[in-house]
Amino acid sequence: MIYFELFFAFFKVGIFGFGGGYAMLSLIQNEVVVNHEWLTATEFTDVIAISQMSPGAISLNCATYIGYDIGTNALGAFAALLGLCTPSLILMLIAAHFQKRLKGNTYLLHILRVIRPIAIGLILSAAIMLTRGDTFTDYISYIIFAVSLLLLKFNMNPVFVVVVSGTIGYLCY
Amino acid sequence: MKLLFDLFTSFLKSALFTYGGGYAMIMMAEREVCDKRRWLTRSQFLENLSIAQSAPGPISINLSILIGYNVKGVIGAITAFCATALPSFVILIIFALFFRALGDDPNIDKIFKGLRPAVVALVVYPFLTFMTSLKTKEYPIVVLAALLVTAGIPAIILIIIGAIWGYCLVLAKRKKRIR
Repeated sequence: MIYFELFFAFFKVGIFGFGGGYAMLSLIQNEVVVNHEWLTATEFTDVIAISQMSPGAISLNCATYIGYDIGTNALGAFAALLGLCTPSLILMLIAAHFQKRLKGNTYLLHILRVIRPIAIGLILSAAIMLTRGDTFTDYISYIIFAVSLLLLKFNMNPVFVVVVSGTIGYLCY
Repeated sequence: MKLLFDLFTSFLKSALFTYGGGYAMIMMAEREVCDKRRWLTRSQFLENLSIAQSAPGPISINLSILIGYNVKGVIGAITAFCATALPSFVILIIFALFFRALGDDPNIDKIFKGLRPAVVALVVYPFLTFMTSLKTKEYPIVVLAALLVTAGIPAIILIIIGAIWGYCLVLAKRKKRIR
């Protein structure tokens, strides 16, 4: 059943999604584009754009949208979102319970230190894989890319970047 | 009951009024939890934040579960969790309905053509800022991980190898200390 598939696909993302939303994009992409072939690379890029337009964490937004799209109703969205968050619920309740003992655990600290650069590498791979869709079609897209990076560099909000790039697209294409 | 209601509204507010990813939400949550409601001290908040960031899963969700638990046990954790997830759930379903209703509007197509390169920038930028927080000797790991995943190796396998490697490093250190 599609709801179970959605739940387990995002459950995997929730368990192995170290390093926050942007590192998780690579895992989501692997499940949604490669393993299940629910979306094409270009459609996935569009989903991220939509996820950035809304408040809330990007991974939650992505899961809800894809769940609704693939499961065709709110139950699909719920299955994907719950799948993504179930590992967090289990792990964080355990962590909260043992909070004092967890403090300064050297095993945990070392493991997390090694995983960190890997998680950052995942963000880079997500960026590389995003270019595989119809992302860079002509010189205008490179200009939009450069303008967006500059706006972010000057601490502009991602939503503003989305609005600016969408407007340029509307006017230039 | 009042406390649960306050927990719910605090985290709903943090999730609803923070555009631009989890980090904006953290600042808002800090203001609510430490300054406005005084549930936790700043150092308790930071301790929870460091656990939330180290664990897998969405950071804002991890943080809300931990703080909810600190304030009111398991029921508090579930309350804070629901409040954090609710805005994403409702708003993205509305977006999905909206884009479905529009169908293949050529104007929407134009807008998305403009959005796609910006999305790459939105992912590249946090990558660049994270890189500045790493030591130079860690750069090869970043590049290697990115290349392997791009080549089709599942990221999950790299995370597991990283975990085992980290575990071995501690064992090696312990052995040295014993000698």
